[in-house]
Amino acid sequence: MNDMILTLDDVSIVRSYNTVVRNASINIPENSIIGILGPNGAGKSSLVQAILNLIEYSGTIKYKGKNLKKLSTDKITELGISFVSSNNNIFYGFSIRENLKFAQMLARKRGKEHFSIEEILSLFPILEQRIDQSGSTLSVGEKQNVAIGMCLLSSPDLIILDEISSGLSPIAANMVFDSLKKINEKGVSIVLAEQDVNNVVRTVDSLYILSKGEISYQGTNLEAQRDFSNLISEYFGM
Amino acid sequence: METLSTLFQQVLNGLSIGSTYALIAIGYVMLFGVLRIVQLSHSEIFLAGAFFAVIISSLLKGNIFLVLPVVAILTGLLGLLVYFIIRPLGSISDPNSQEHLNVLVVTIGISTVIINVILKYFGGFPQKFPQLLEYSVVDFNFFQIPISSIVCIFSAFVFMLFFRWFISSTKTGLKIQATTENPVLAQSMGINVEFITKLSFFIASATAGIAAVFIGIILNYVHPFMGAILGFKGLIAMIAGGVTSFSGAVIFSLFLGITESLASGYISSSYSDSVGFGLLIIVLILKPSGLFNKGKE
Repeated sequence: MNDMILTLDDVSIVRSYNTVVRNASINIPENSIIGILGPNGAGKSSLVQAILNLIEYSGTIKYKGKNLKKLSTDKITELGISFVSSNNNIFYGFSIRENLKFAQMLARKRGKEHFSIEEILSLFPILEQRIDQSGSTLSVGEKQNVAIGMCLLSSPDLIILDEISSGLSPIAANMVFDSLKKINEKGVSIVLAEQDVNNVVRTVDSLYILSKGEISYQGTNLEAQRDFSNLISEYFGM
Repeated sequence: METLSTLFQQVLNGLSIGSTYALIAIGYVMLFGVLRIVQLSHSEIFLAGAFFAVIISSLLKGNIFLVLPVVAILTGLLGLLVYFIIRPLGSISDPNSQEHLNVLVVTIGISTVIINVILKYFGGFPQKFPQLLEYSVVDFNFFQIPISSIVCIFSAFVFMLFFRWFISSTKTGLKIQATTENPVLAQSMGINVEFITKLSFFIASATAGIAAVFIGIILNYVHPFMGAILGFKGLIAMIAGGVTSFSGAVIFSLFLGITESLASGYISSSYSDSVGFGLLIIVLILKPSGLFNKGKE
């Protein structure tokens, strides 16, 4: 069995007097792709923000055995966790090239470099054609590609993607999920907080469903595919 | 020829005052970026800079090359003090939070304290600004301009070019630019936003100090209530320029300075302060996000 890269143990989150996540425990093995599925308001984004210590939480979150609770967000990313949100995820004042170079510049020398700018451009060829275009003029899909590229340039061991399929056309979403497999092959673990059931089930190694702040389903990729119809009803609460 | 001479004269006057507005506006842009609120005591930090210059000029024998950096450091430290006062008031990242309002009100309080301290020690009257530059006039035949104005315009432009280089070409400058545009993304990319915020307070306040020295040289006097009106000009330039755009703030500051000067020369000096707000209203009606706003999703 793989070592765990990230463990969430009994995590609860209260926001504005409402419990948005209750006693969630999630284990993420190294070099795996894990999906956290859930509808809007299920608590996925809160969970992701808690991992980065952007919000208060109770319980324990450990990265490679190290408790993250006392660490600031910049220290957490320095450890090798990188994050992409669904919106405002690139700098609009910078061009694509500047965004990628800036991310590369910020990358801490942690002894390994998974990706170069050239590799990012070959992963997302559309970006090369618009390399000097300002971030504010890109489509949603192009912004997501740049954001994932920036995230990868920071040489992370774990990337967390929060609703990256949001606002993407089905074709663009498929392309993004296809690229995640290639990224994972380079030894990068991936956490997907998502709503896109089909793409998540075909991409992940194992899956959690978050419903009304609680983990309501947990299974491997094979189990998830076998349980697909049950899973849909679990997911949509029908 | 006389008409042209007056026009040139007014444009140069406008450029000299506009370049100092630009230095104040740069600070506002930087502070708004990292705080997400208008740091309302910034105008009084500028005011304090003018009075720091009055106090230390005699100690430094009126040497502008010493006065300028010392005033910049003193106002920079004062800015940091403001940061340390407002920091414990809580999270300021959520514009709708109570903490956000607390910070806004406290910065108004800090402004009042700075004005009161100046009133206590200098009284409510204008103070003569020390002569940091020899008075002489450059005669271009059809118009004349004081050498101090040329030095101020030139120095302000050199500073703005340096600032532009710093902000767009150095690692720290790019981090400031990124934090100014999107602090949450900057933080999630590993930037120490807390440190960048402190640094931004220092740089923005030091820049206000430099602007204060230039204003003192141009006007030849300072007074305890000049912070608000000149601070407003910087604020107007920041908002009309697009709030988070350094270039937008600088360009609009120069435009504002020239327009004010032309209004003053050709209509009446009584209207010069109204011009800025008039222009701001027009810009906001035509383009509510400001002229050079980079926009978000």
